[in-house]
Amino acid sequence: MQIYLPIAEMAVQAETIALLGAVVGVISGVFGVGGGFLTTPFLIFLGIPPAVAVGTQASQLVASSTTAVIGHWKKRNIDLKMAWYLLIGGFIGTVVGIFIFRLLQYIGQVDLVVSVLYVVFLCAIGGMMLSESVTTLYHSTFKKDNADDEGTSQTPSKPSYWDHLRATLPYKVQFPESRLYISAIIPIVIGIIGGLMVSVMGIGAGFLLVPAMIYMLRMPPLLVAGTTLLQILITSAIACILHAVMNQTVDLILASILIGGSVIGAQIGVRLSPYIKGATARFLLASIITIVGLRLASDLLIPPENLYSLVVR
Amino acid sequence: MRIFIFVLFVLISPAHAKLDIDISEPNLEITTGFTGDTLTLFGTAQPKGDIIILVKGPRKDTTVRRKANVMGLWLHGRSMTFRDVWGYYNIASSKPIADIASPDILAQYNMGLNSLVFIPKGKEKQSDISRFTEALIQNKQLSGLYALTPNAVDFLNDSLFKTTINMPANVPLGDYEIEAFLFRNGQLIDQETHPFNIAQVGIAANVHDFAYHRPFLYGISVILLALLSSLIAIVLLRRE
Repeated sequence: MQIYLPIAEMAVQAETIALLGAVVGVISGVFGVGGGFLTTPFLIFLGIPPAVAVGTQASQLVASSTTAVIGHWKKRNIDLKMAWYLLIGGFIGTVVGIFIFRLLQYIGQVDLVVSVLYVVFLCAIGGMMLSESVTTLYHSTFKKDNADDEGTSQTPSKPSYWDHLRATLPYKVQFPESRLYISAIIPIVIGIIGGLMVSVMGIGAGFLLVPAMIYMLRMPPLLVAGTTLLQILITSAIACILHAVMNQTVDLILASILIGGSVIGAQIGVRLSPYIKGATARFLLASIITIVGLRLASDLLIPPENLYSLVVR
Repeated sequence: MRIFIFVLFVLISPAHAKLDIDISEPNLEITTGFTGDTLTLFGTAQPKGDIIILVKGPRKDTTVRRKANVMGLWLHGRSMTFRDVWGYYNIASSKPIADIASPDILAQYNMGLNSLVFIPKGKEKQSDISRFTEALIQNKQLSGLYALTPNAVDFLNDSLFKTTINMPANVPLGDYEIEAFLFRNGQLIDQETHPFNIAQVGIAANVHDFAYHRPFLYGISVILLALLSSLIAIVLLRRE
């Protein structure tokens, strides 16, 4: 069924959008990522103006992460104190990011910066996670010596530069639920990066936050998904309102279809998540991220059929 | 009905009216179900001659960007912004326009894609201007907003003619002009302009107005919609 989008000012196939929402919902429920890295490129691929894609999918991030956050909340899988520190950074990052986005619009290089950032982040993170999860899977399958240390298997045996920095940074805070005693600067900086990505790239950046919290904060993986999703929920709500106020690029009709698909998908995802765990989950997520990254990279590398494009002011 | 009244009106109107046109819908109303539309345009010409009809959409500054290969990557390179480019341009004629009027007249009235003039902002080399102009027209044609070839104007009898104009789903909103020209032996005898508007109505229009006039409330509503629908989903799909 074709439906006309009042803000994007074009017609789209409603079923395609709903299916996209559902797939993203499942992914967000299983992996604790918002799924924006999938939604934004696919919406643009369907012909939605990039600004509308970025602005609208922020609302879909709110919906898909709400469902998942409540699921994790019931299971007590959220470190609230950690979430607060992440949010302080997230708020700063979102506001700064909106200004960067405006600056890029002024210079006229938004497309370039966004697509290069997408490729670099997706391929780098996807590649790193792939190699790590394959190594872990290999060890757990063939060595059978780490059956009960899923969460600590990534810890390097000798102290690295990062371990040293982590130990010496000031403003240390207790995070009882995560059993961590670390500098508040680390979660705040992670939050700032998350906020920047939401406003500049239009993604929740769960694919970046999840590994950052596993590898940099060394949070228990069980708490990572829920805590990340809470951070994504609130920063994307802020970003969505800012996009609506500053750019009028949030399409309610498009949002409704996407959200309809994603809330159902998220319910399925939350039920699936107990069966997909640890290294297997990271391997699957890494594969999806890498494939999307390579697909976007091919747009930059393959000579385009039509060299020219139009922008109507 | 509209057309019937129009034809009736034309038949009883004084003989000095040489050219008249009317359209199947006075204004194109875009609802959430809009997937493009075909407009039917009727007119009378007395005496019968050659007809050219132009449909021109709202004018906006339009930037043409060219991708360039920089160190193996295809990135946006040069761009050129043209002033007041028609957002939509369509043409219909009773025979090939080159057989109707001289190139000078065609150029004077912007008849045919070749006679459209695009003026860039700032100083540009002539060779670049023609390259980017060609790209502009081709891209507009690919998105269905510029005519590929002129539509046919068919005479139903000695004076009554008809044509259809295609409006794709991505048609720009705003004020349009429909211009009709009557030629005889290469001479312009009469012309008429008919204003036309494309606007959103119903839910589509409400959403659009809400987003532009109450952006903060609109943003909040979108968030509430997102929160509510996930809460509803949780309640409905709750596991026992």
